[in-house]
Amino acid sequence: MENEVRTPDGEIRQISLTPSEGGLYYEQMSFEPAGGDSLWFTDVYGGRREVRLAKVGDTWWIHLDGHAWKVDIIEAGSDGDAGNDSSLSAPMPGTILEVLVREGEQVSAGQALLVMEAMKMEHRITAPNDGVVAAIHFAQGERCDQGAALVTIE
Amino acid sequence: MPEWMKGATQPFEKVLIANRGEIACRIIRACRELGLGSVAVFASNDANSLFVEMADESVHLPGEDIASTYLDGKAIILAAKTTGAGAIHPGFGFLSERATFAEEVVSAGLVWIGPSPHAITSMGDKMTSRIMMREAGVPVIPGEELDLEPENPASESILSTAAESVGYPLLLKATAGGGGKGMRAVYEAADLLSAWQGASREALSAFGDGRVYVERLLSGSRHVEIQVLADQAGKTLHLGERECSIQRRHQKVLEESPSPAVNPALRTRMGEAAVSAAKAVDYVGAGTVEFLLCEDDEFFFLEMNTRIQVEHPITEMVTGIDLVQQQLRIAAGLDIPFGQGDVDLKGHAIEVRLYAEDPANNFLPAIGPLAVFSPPKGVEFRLDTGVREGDEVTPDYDPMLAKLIVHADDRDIAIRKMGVAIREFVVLGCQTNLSFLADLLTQHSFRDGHTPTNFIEEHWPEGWDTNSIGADVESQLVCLAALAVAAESFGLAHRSGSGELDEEANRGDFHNPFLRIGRRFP
Repeated sequence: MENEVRTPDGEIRQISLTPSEGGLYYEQMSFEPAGGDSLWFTDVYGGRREVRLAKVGDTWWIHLDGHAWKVDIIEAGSDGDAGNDSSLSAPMPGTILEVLVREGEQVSAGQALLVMEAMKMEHRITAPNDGVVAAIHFAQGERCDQGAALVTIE
Repeated sequence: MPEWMKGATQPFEKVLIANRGEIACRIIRACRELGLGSVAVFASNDANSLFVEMADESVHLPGEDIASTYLDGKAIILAAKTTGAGAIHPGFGFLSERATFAEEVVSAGLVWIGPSPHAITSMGDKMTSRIMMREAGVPVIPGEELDLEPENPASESILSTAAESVGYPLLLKATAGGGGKGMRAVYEAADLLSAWQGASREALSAFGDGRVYVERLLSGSRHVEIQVLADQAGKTLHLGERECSIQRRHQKVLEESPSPAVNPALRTRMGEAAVSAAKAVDYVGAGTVEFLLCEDDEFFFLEMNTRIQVEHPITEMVTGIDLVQQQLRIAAGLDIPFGQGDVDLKGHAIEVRLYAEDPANNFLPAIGPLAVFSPPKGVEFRLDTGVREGDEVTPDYDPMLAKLIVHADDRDIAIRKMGVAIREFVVLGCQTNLSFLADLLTQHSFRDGHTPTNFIEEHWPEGWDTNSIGADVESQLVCLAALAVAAESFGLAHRSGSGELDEEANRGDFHNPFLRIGRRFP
């Protein structure tokens, strides 16, 4: 019942649930299957409600108190930091319209690196932090798949 | 032939809908309610879509891209002929504002559910429409109409001269534009050139026309539009306003009617201006005249949309008039069965647009499976949707999935009702803007009705983030983590909706975009 997950704040948390009659416990919270895609969730104040969940890939989508959240399950043995490397990945499949930087160039956080088109709109891909452009993986006019590394910043 | 069609000069019994998604569903429903048959046309990647299922008949358009499917006028007219449809409804977007298509429909002996090609052409070109409106006595925004060709080196200096005379901040707009495409706000001269290049490029790819013009950006102003309805006999009415100021990326997010900024006297003035605008082009059918409304109640013509508008339901809720049914009746040659004096706005209606997008990442479009799509229950509301649970949101089309509309006695109750409805709306598997919408409704200035067009930028200058709904609250994060682990431990159903999403069963299916792109969501 021990699992590693990444919560919406980007942190990795280890959660170890305790089984008990018909349910699972964590600290003062309890969880029971509610049939289908739902769980009965009792919070630390004793408030009990039905929570809907859906798993897509390694991500659990959770509708809690009016909002949808994503929590990633980190499989044992995988590199938990895989999502935080220094390559900027394409948020959508699309076409690179313009490359605004050169390899070796010093860039600052927020600076536009390239312009891509996806879903008929232009999107600016910006640097998440200060650094040097180590590699640009696509040229103007090329198509990229979702998740493809676009620019590596070191 | 349905009873109401008797006496129509251009009767028809079956309508082909040259569109897809939620608006196709909306039109099919109106046809059904009026006793008319419906024909859908669909691209391969829409074969399992809701609108195809809803239509009485459907015709597959075999092309690979939009140009050879939903934009292929000839194939669509052929589909109408083959199925015996007597009329074509274009919806919005796609071919709805292409005068040449309207002409082709009419020359094929079919009824075009829309205004004349002349009205479409006059209003479709922003420069022409500005000039025509000025002549018709409708106020227009101070600006310069420029014919700039991107290839022409002289364009640069013409542009900067015009920009200086109009003044900053300014707006560059595609001459053929609409829907926020080919539009850029420019706050200082240094950004002018790159903004123009971007706007022009976007306009060229979206409309096949890269021309751009420049006008003053009136900040603090509102986007208020007037619904008009005109029959073939020339009776032209207005159906009050819609407040559409809350926008992101120049696309509307939330609309309401009536506008908190419009009193009855102003409504009459704007309504009359809108009717003049429509009459100037001999408008027939349902159309929308968009105005920029300033704080001193001065208003300026922006453009006229010569088609049904996305946000038409809120007008229907407050007036009790079904606009799509009226479009069908008017196209058949029937007169509008009521007068201006019969139009009354009752209560307050709000619409929010459900977009597949990440509001915490600059509203970037999102894709993914709708593993759960469960609209609110137990609250009086209207859902105009093009999707249902199990569908996949792909990058092929617009990210707008559905519209949620509430109607109540007054604005305050309507806001509360919408707040409840949004929080009960469960969408899992694909990122949506629902949490952003919920947060938007709680803003004091929204509650007070202070909604200029820069509302979103002003309230979230650094961008919206999930901390405003508790992503930084440790106890909440621990709950979420424990819920995920509990669900994993219980082996809760892996909800994949349509069987196509089952990775094991479809491994290697190249045509499944969900597998092709890998299971990583932004």
